Amino acid sequence: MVVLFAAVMVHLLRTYGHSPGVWVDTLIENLFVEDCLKHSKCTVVGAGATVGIFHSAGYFNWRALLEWFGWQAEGTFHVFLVINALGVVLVALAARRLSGPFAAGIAAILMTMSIGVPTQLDVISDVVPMPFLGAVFLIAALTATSNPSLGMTAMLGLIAAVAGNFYATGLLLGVSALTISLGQAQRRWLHFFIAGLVFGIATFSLSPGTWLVNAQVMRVKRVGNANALADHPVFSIFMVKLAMLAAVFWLLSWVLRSSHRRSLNLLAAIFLPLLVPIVLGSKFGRLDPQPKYVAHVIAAVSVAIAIPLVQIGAWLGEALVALRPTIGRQVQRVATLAAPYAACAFIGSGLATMDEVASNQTILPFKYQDLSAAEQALAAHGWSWEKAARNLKAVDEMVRRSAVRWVPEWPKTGQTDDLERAYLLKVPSPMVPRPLPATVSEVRHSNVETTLVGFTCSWIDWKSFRVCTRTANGGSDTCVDSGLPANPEGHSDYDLELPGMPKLDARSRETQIMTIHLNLTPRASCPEEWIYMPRQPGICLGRIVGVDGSPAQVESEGRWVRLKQSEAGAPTPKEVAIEWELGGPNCTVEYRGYPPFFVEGDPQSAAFLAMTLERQWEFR
Amino acid sequence: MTPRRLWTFLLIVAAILACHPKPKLKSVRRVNDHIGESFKRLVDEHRFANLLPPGWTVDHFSATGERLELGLADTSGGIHSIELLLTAPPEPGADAGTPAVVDGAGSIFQYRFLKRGETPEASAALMAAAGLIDANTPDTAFTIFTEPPPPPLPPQLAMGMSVSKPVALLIATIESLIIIAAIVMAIVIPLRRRPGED
Repeated sequence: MVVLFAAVMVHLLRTYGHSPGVWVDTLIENLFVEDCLKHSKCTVVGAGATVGIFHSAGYFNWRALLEWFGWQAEGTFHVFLVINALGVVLVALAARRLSGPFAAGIAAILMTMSIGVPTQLDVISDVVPMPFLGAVFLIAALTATSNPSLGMTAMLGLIAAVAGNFYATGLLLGVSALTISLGQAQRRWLHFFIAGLVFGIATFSLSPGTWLVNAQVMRVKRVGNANALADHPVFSIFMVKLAMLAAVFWLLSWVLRSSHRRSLNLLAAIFLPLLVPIVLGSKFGRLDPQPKYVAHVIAAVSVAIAIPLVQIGAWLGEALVALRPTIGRQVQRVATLAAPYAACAFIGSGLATMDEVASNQTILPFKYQDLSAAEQALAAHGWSWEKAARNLKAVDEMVRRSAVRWVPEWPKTGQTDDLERAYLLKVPSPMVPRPLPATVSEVRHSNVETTLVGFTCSWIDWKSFRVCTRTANGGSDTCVDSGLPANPEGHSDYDLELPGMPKLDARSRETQIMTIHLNLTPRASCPEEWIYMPRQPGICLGRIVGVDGSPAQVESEGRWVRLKQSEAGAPTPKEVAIEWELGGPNCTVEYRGYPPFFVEGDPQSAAFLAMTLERQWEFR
Repeated sequence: MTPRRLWTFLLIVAAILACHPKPKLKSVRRVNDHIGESFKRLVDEHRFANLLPPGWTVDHFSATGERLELGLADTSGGIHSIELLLTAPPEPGADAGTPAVVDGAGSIFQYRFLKRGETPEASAALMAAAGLIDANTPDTAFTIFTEPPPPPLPPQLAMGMSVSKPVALLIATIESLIIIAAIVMAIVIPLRRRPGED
């Protein structure tokens, strides 16, 4: 088991590295953790889920505990990897107890294949501990049924309560605890009562606010997240397919009167309370099924498939022995001895990584270590947190927010020049031109990817600008003054727009035309200003519509404008207007209530950044 | 445990869920395109011109969901804006926005100045213009949705239900201890027999 743990850790570290990815939910979680540790205001309600309820308060407190111990982003990430590896070991242990080392190896491989991006293991999120908690529940359930005691039954209720307060689907383990207690050979109603009582009291006690608020929520509105923006057919989820296969094996075990049918009953009691509602809920239009919902049953499903596969293998082995007794027995002996080590080698070599994992990844996603490296480069450049909050730009708004919010070591004071901009890019290493311009710093580098920070000297001061909006089908502009605040408060990022920026209901079909009017400040240190509007997925597609109210200087259908400080007699450009169609095909989920990304600055720097963005996209 | 027991239990759970009363669906109303027609008619009939101080004009008007916004331009080109928020619910429990600061109210909308510190002249003009819109908004200017649009992420951060840091860390420690104890118990207690074996 120690070897297996090491093999899984090697696999996880090779696949996901040592640093968590940038993820919107992590930022929301961080707000809860910060509220708890800095302001002693720790939630007992949790965060809102897409299905309309609140959950995860127990998890937030646990994350606060980890940070209190000093495990911040990367420390917490390593804890998550360790508990997932431990979960695989527990699953192997359960399978070994039920059906021997072969089953242990197969279950470990299945579990390792099933955790990963679908369970958000590449980031920090409340889903990540769920496969581990499911494995703990499984091993405890196995003990509770093989050595029935009220103490162990109560323990099942407690684990389910912890799981339910980590992530809402964990509540279904409460149903499993009741089902398993009802299956005890003796005093089953007492076991049932104890499991229910302990589960109910513990679930409520660990985060009472969650359940008080959810009771209110369920009283006034219909809960569900069907017709979500991204549709996920239920049977496209790998773990749902495996769970269906496990259900088939469970039914067959009774038809064929297999000796393992009672073991499979225990496992079915864990995965059926999830499988039945997720299939029915998605079929009847109440639920948008997602891979993360099934995280807590991965352990049970892995074992439920491993046991029948071993049984089938045993039948084949017996057939081989019947045909070729000598060879058959040798094969059986070698296979039995080698199975655990083969499984460890298979996992450790990374063969248990599914293609699905890689295909789910955004190409070159940012990790915490990129942000931390960028912070060091900017701090060395004299940048303070306040300056970064206003002047750091990234293609993905979540990357910008994460750099400002997540990295803890930003200097509190520094330069006050609000006309200098920094652009954070991550690009494939082979396409980085050498030598780099003097205004570009390479902050992280590997053979595969390079993280760059490019500085520009700009004419735009983001402290104030004017935002005008109108509906796409006509109407007059509604204009308000806006600006990037000097000291933005963390919660303002959460589900809120920058003051003055329009709100966008991503589900509405109505589009809005937003025009941002930016004042220009030409000066001797930057006699020219270029503005470039990138056209690539992930960026709100915008266009420059005019300079000082005239479209004369705008090039390439709004993609470029090249401005020069006035020479004798020529007028000085004072304002540039840029327009986006919010809610349109290229600016819906990309818009986050913040001015969308574009490049602005001195010609050399702007041209380099524009070329890098375009080449990066072509390279991909 | 036999499948019969398992199925019986699942059936009981299903029956309880089936009997659970369905939550009542809320109705909400939102302004529709007719509000624009109604506004245009007021402009065409010079109803605002008769109401506003000399030289003042309507600068902009917009309508989205539960709110309208009207902007007036004064003689020096300064813009004064007022927001009209739907307040009268079509049935009890309907979700209609309530502004944080109310500067006035009509039969359909509540009014709120978008900028603090408006002059008495501008305040009077804005209130009069808002009152005119309120009084001339036809019933056809609303669409009632029997199901609300997906609710915005609730303001859980502001719900105020929280505990202090020591209590939260204690809860998290208890959670950790439960999991550690479960693992230790599960590993230490040897299996006497396989599940379900009598």
